[in-house]
Amino acid sequence: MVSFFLHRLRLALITIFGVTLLVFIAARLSGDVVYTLVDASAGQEEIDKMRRQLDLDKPVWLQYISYVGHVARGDFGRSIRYQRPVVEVIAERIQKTVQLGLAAFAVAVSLGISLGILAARTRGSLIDRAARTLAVLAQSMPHFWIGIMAILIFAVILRWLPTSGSGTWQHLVMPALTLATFPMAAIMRITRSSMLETLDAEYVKFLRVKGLAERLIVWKHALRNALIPVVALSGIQLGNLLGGAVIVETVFSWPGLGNLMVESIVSRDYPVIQSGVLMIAVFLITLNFLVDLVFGVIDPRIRYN
Amino acid sequence: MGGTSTKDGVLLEVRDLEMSIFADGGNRIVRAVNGLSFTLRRGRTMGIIGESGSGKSMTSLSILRLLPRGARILGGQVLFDGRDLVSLAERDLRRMRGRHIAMILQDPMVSLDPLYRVGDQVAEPLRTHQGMGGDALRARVIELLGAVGIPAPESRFNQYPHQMSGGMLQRIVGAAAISCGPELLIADEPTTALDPTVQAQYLDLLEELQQRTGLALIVITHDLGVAARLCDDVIVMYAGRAAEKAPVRTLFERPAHPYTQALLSTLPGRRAPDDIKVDAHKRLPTIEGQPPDLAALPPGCPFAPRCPRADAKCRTEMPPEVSLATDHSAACWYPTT
Repeated sequence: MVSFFLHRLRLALITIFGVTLLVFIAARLSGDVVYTLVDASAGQEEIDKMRRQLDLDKPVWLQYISYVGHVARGDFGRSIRYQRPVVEVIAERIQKTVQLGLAAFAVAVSLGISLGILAARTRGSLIDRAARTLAVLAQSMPHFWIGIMAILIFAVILRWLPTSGSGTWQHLVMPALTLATFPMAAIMRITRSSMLETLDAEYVKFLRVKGLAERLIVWKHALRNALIPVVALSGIQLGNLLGGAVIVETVFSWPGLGNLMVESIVSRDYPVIQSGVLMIAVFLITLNFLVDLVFGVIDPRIRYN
Repeated sequence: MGGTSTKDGVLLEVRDLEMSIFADGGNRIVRAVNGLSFTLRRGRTMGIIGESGSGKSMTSLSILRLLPRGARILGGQVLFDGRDLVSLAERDLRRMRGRHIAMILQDPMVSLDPLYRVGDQVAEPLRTHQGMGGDALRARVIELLGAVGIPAPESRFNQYPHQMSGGMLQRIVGAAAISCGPELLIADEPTTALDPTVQAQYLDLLEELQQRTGLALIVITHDLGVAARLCDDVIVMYAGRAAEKAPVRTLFERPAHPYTQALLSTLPGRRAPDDIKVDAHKRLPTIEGQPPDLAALPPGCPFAPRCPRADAKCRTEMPPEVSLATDHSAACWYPTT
């Protein structure tokens, strides 16, 4: 277990190193931040001065080494746009994204798994076909379109929910449901197919031979086996939620990390972009690790040595 | 159960059993079992032999009414201790499964849930049917594991299926099957998935269990050696029908049905009667031709297309079961007598 953990840690560090390098370069390729900070009429002297102030006059590789050195010491720099430490700026946005992401994930997992089981147990019925059609629709519609339609119907026409912003639970409903559509459909489909496969397995036949009650067969044996691929997919979907959050937060003006990242890219706020992406990378790596641990809990065949 | 039958009485009587599988939304009807009848007495062993697709496994699944998707029992009766399982309510039937009638599936490697300890899986029928629990249950399971020849049963209890060999798993499956002391045990190809050295040990175990508990056995196999070794009586199945029924010695010594004769002559070292066509030039002899498509059975004897004795009558009229001696019958117009 310890060696497994160390192995994963080493891989994680390599990945994180790669991510910092890529983002560092990509952010600089997106354009020069200095021009967003000085007046259009500013002379060369003023531009050079600003560049010196931001330490952007040095060669890029030296900037990178300096950045990595600071990050290693826990210094993530200051936001150019907000003139405050990056950690502060990200910290206040991240809890909004966690709130949104967890709400969406909870909806996606609970609805996805229950609909998947229902569809599998009523294979070929109207319920099964309706659930599958719904899943295809949910997976084919882009988040921004679902979001805009939701705003149009529930905020503008029906006036049930606020159009955008955050603060009350009503503000959370539409963005969370919009964000949940895709992972819910994906989880539902894999639960259904995995459940069908398990219910056809020989060991399920043997459970029937033993005379066990159907509910025991389905809930104790088949479901636990069927959940193995569902857990894998759910982990991936939780990671994908962050990508979806960038769009959903923009559509609903939800003041989260995704929204902050878009703003920062537009204003070329390098320190925020770098740290934001780093944060997301660390989150995804941790998530993958946790998913592997969950496997170990569900499946006795998996032992990390 | 009833208790009215004597020890040598009839335990299972299958009468005119018909089972079909409706595939492609009912467009293709596979007639898996076609009017099968046989009787099994308490404590005896019946072998059902035949090629793959002859309806052996479907017969055993029909007895327990654990049918594959799309399959339906269309007719007949399965009388177990006098009760017809075909018309029994699902709830009552479930109480029979694992308690009075047990079954061992073909492949022990996939017969157990990989996520639960083997001890718990052996315990399940006892928990369900006899309401056992706690230390008594654990002790009983360990006793059962010992009874099927598992060394160090206390420590094996806590192991998972993937930690055991195929032979060990087959014993675990056996322990789960006999846990509630069933009167009938159906073993579907019990040794096919096992190594040859383990096969013999497992057959020993089945015999020993039968002697100790007096249960009746149905052994489904395509292995004539297994049948010869274990069975009192044998049914040779072909295309979902009984081609021949006979006590095991009679079957091997005086087979009456051309199919049985052909089947026996495929055994290394045996010769076919002169008129039975077997491709003996191959290193292992085979019966020429293919078994019929169960979704498009010919009107007459299903073996007629491969049978050297077949004439016009065989191809148009289904042969009835002809009694040749006590307990010996063949479904053939021209049986060897």
